[in-house]
Parts: sequence; C-alpha cells; structure tokens
Amino acid sequence: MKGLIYKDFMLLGKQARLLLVMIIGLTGFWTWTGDTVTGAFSFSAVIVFMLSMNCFAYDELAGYEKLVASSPIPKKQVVLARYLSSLVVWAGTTAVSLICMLAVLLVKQGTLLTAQLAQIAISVPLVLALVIVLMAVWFPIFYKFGVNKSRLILILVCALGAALLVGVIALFAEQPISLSAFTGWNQVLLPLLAVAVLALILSVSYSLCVRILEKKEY
Amino acid sequence: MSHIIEIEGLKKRYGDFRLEIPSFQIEAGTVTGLVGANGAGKSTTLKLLLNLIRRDAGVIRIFGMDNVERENDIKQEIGVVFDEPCFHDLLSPRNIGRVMREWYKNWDDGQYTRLLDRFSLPPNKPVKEFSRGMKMKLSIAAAMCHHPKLLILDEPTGGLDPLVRDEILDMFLEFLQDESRSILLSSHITSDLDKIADTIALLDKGRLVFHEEKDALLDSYAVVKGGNDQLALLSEEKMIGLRRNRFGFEALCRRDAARKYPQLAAEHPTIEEIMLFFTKGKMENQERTDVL
Repeated sequence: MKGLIYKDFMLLGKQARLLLVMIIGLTGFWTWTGDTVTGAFSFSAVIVFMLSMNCFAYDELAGYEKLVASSPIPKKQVVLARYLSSLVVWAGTTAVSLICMLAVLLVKQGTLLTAQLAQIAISVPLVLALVIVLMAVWFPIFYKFGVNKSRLILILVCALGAALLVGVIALFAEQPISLSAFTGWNQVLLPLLAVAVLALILSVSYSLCVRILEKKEY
Repeated sequence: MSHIIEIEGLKKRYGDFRLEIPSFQIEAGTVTGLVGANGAGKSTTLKLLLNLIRRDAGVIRIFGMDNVERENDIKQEIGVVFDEPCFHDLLSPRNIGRVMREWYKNWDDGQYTRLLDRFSLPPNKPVKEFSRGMKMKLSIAAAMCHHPKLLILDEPTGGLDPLVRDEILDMFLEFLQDESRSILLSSHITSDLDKIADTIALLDKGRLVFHEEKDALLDSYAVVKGGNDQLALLSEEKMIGLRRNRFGFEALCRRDAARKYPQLAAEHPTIEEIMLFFTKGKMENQERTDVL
C-alpha cells in the first residue's frame, strides 16, 4: 500500500510547483481582498478532487491497474491507498493555505483576530467533510466507469447541481434558514452526528470500491 | 517432477469465443511456449492464471494452491510481463523500483540495479523517453527482482529487434539456471521458442490442441512434400494439415506415417510449420475433403 501512495505522490509531484504557486497566489488574493477565509480552504477541496482524478487518469493511461492486479497487493489496500493519498494531499494543501493565510492576515492587520481564528477552526473540518463526501461519491464512479466516462457524468452532475442550487436559492430567498437551531446541546450533537454520517458514507464508498475492483476484469 | 501449474476443466466464455482446456500441467524447471493465432486464447489463458478475469468453470492451481483463494500468496512468487509495458510515462526506473519494493517481500534492490545496468537503462530518465525495447527490458527487470519462481510472459519479445530479443532470451535462460523456476511464455515468434522452450502448447480457437515436449514434437512430425499428381498417394487420415501451391503440396504427417511414402520428400518441421498445419492447414485439408 505504501508503494501505491508513494507512486501517487511521485506522479502528483510533477505538478507540485504549479499547484503551490496556484494555492499561494489564490489564498493570498482571497485573504487579502475577502472578508472570510472559507473560500481559500474550499479551493483545497477542488484541488484534491482534481488531483485524485488525475491519479486515476494516469493509472488508466498507463494500464497500471492491470499491473497492480497482477501484483500481490490486496484489493482493499489498493483502494485504501487512493483514499489515503487524497487525504494526505488535502492535508498538505490545507497546511500551505493556512500558513499563507496567517502570513497575509498578519501583514494586513498586524495581528490575528479571534473571530478569524474561529472561522479557520470551523472551515477546516467543513472542507474536510466536503473532501470526504466528494471522494466517497466519485471514487466508486471512477473505479466503475473510468475517468473519461466519469468526466461526462461529472459535467452532467454539475449542470443539474447548479440548476438545483438556483432553484433552492429562489425558493428560500424569502425564508432564510434560521441558525438558532445550532446552539446549546446541538453544538455537540450535530458535529458528532456529522462525523458518524461521514464515517458511514466513507465506509460504504470504500466497500463499494473494493467490490468493483474485485469484480473488474482486465 | 512437481507441477508448478495445474489446470483442470477450465472454461471461459466471451460472447462467441469459448476457451476450454480440459487438462494442462507445467513442470518445475521448464519453459513452456504457448503458441496459437491471434484470438486463439493465449492471453485469456494467462489472464485466467493471474485471476485478471474470472473463470466460468474449472480449477487452476499454481504451486499447488488455488489461484483465487490464495491469489496474493501465489503472486508473491510470480513475475509478470505483459505485451505492453504498464508503467507511468512520468516515472523513472528508480521511481518504479521504489514503488515495487513495497509490493514484494523478496524484492532485491541490488538485483534491480544490476539489471538496469545490464540492460543499459538510465535509472533517472522518465519512461516516456524510452524506446519500446527499453520499456520491455524495464518490465522484464521489474518482473525478475523479487526472485519469482514462475515468470508469466505475454508476448514479451513482440515488436523488438533481434538483438534485444536475443538479450532478453539469454536473460530468461539465466533465470532458469535455478531448476525450481519455470517460465510460461506466449509468443508469435516461434524462433524464440525454438531457442528456449522445453514444451510447446498449441491453442486454436480456444481449444488446447496439444502440449508436448518440443524435441519430441519436432521428432514425431514430418513435412511431406510432393507434386500435385502425388497428392492422391497420401492417405487423408495420415495428414494433419495440408498446404497447396502451384508447384505441389506440403503436408504435415506423423513421422512414422511419412516413412510409408518413400517416394515423397520428408523434412523436419519447425514449430511455426507445426502451428500453421495444425490450424490453417486443417482448413485446407477440410477443403480438399470437400472437393474429393
């Protein structure tokens, strides 16, 4: 499994410099010009998703899956390696974003505000949740259909998602959702519930990927 | 001798194509050449051995273990080379070695470095800058560095120049100096099999036509040649395959049968001729029967 994670990093490492420039540039820009820090962290979710898709694409292009299938690595480890490498990439991009963001805030304000630190503390786990949901939904699709077909599905989903979002915004524009429900004991229960739901989604996705890989023929 | 590979009642269906191998064994310390036309079932057989495709029926045992139940244990002892190299273009041989050393318990870094050196493969150059020959050499080097007991090779010398092919075949012969090791090799290039194979298995349209020792195979058949007017001399049931041209005919017969026709010239066949007569020649023989 270690070898597969290492391979993903070596492949992604070829784009590392460009990505680093993008992350630093965009994080710096958003932090300097924006009021919130969430945007900069959300970008890392997009990056992780794109890079994971690239890893699948590289493997597909090289016929690497066949080589891995003829090796002694259990299928469970093959799938786990992909999830882990994506999570490590997320951790890396988040760390770079965080350092860059703190540096820009210090230069801009001369100090760090408690509200901003609280926003960072909330944004990081929220973006991690987003990354987990993206991986959980898309990895089985990548394994099942390959990256090329998955891209078409992705375009379709994005189009439908955007339409849905516009609809929801139009529907609730006059009735904003009250945040008063997220106080008191809910502040503890809801995050725990969210963690449980994410763990469930992730385990279902992982099992699905393993099953797809076990049934796959080369 | 012990069996490295044992196949019993193997069946696999792909649409109209059906592979059926009732029984097939490979002994330790031997090189088995799998020959046959395109679509005969060679790659399918190798994929079934590696559990890359699911069998419909039958049993496959490698090193005495079921190839599905003990898949990962078996694959620790197998080196595989496919007809197309499966490495990422962006990675270098050094990167590939670092990845593969994590896959195999017996991975030998020293052996890998020696093989890269022997094949003159630059360790830090990305694979995309390699020629096909270099890529195949890299695949072979990577397949041999965990000291496998069995090499499964699918057309490893296809598309390579004679010099590289010779170098690779020498490598295989060295690998076999340890008599517990075996090679199963599918190839269109029958001259390669002439050089290294101990036994030859012929597949035709998904059926195993024969699996015999190479020397015995070459000794037990003869190519009988004669003019068109002499064709009638040859008893049809003695002919395995027939080819006709404007000067006369060539037929593959069992050697003892060929001796019964002293008036016809009999020659030793090559593996390629045997393969052609058993597959293509059969059709011509059928045409002749239809005409008669």
